[in-house]
Amino acid sequence: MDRKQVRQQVWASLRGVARPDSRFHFDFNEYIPDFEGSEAAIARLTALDVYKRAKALFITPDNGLEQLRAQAVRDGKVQIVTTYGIRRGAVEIRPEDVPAGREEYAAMLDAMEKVGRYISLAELRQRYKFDLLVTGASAVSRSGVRFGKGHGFFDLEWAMFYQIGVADSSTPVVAVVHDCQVLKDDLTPGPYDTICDMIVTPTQVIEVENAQKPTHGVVWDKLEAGMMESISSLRELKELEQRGALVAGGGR
Amino acid sequence: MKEREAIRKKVWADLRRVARPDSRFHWDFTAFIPDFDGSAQCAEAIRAMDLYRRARTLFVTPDNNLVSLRANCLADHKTLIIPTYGLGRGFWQVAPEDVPNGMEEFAATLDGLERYGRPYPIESVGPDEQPAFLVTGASVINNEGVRISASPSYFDIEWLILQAKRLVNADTPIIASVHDCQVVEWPCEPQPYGSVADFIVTPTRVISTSYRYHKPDRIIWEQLPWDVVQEVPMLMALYQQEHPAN
Repeated sequence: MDRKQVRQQVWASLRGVARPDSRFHFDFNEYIPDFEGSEAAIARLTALDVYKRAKALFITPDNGLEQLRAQAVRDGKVQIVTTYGIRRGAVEIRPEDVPAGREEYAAMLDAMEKVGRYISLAELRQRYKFDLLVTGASAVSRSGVRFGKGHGFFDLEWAMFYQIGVADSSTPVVAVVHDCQVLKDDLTPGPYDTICDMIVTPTQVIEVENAQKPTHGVVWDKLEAGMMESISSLRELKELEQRGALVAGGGR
Repeated sequence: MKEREAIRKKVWADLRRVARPDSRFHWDFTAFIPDFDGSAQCAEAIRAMDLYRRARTLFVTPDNNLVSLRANCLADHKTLIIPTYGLGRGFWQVAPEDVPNGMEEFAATLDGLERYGRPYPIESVGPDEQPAFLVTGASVINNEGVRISASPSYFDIEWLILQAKRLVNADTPIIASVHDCQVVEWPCEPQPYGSVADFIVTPTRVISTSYRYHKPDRIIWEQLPWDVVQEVPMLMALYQQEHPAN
């Protein structure tokens, strides 16, 4: 089975436990859904040392991570969340920006841009080093190979963060998924796959040994058509690269 | 038709300067009606209207510029009927008693509707649950209340469904809430399935269009594009009810 078939098969099971999106309903081509039991998965994740110790997190805009974004605010952690499709870059949400009782509100895509502020790659590089990256997935193998909606947004985010030095090979990557999204069969990783160090579901935490991450940054000629035009962060990265601003190795 | 498209494009260019992007659709105005600077003033102007004060239940479209209005309604203990985006999951409602204090703005967003809303039981609506009036956004509207929208717009379809269920009639007021740059002085007849706004509310003024045109009181299926009927489950269900042989 190729990845497309695997995706279709998982989506069929996921449909039974998924929560609809406010715009995309149940069209999983367009978004990664929240699911029944995501609260339990987030509780498992937030009980882990790797979360407890983290000060700065990157969290993808996947719906299954709403509860995590709210909890991170309550726990006093700073989070960087990309906008949907990275169309308007990344947003920084600091706990002090969120009034008490408004954590759940701040965690929603419809609100996070009102509560947080946009942050450029240059500023990210200057001020942050992520302690943890958390993403959703369409499906993930027990060996940590994941795939999303099919555009490779998370792999692209990893490449950008690696290149500007806010993440490195030792930065843990966690995928939060429903048990039905964990594949029985293994997947062969490709050169652009960001392998997860941990998979967290409502019922279990799976640790992956020796999870390899790509170290080549953004591979410009492999970008999907139109991404350079629609994602301003990529244009910023290209400019930083051309200016030689990334040579010294960034991150704090 | 060409002129129509040209007007829409021109207004969108102006709107871009005062609009806010959608969390999913970015700046693609073909996919959503944006929030804009001054939308809170529109909500306050509607709040000051007599018909608002008397209303217990309102129908408000899921347009982004109506978030403040929806938050006001919940704070003022009014129940909202809101179509899901693109009518993908029919009509939903949010009752003020379902929304904790301070969460009105959250519940007023589309993401919040998922949290605090529930399906609107359109087949068994009590007398208190009928909408006292309807509020919609618009891409472009002329000063006589005719929306210059996609043909038909989702609001047109929503009106057709509501009238088919006897939840609205020609006396049910329609308010269009828009930015000043979305109001054009371009005379045009409404589409046969198009419903006309009785009031246009902008951040700076309220225009009364004085019921110049009537609102559709039945669905003339031949006038509706078939692909639209197929795309909207509620419309298809109505068609099948009226055409049991098929």
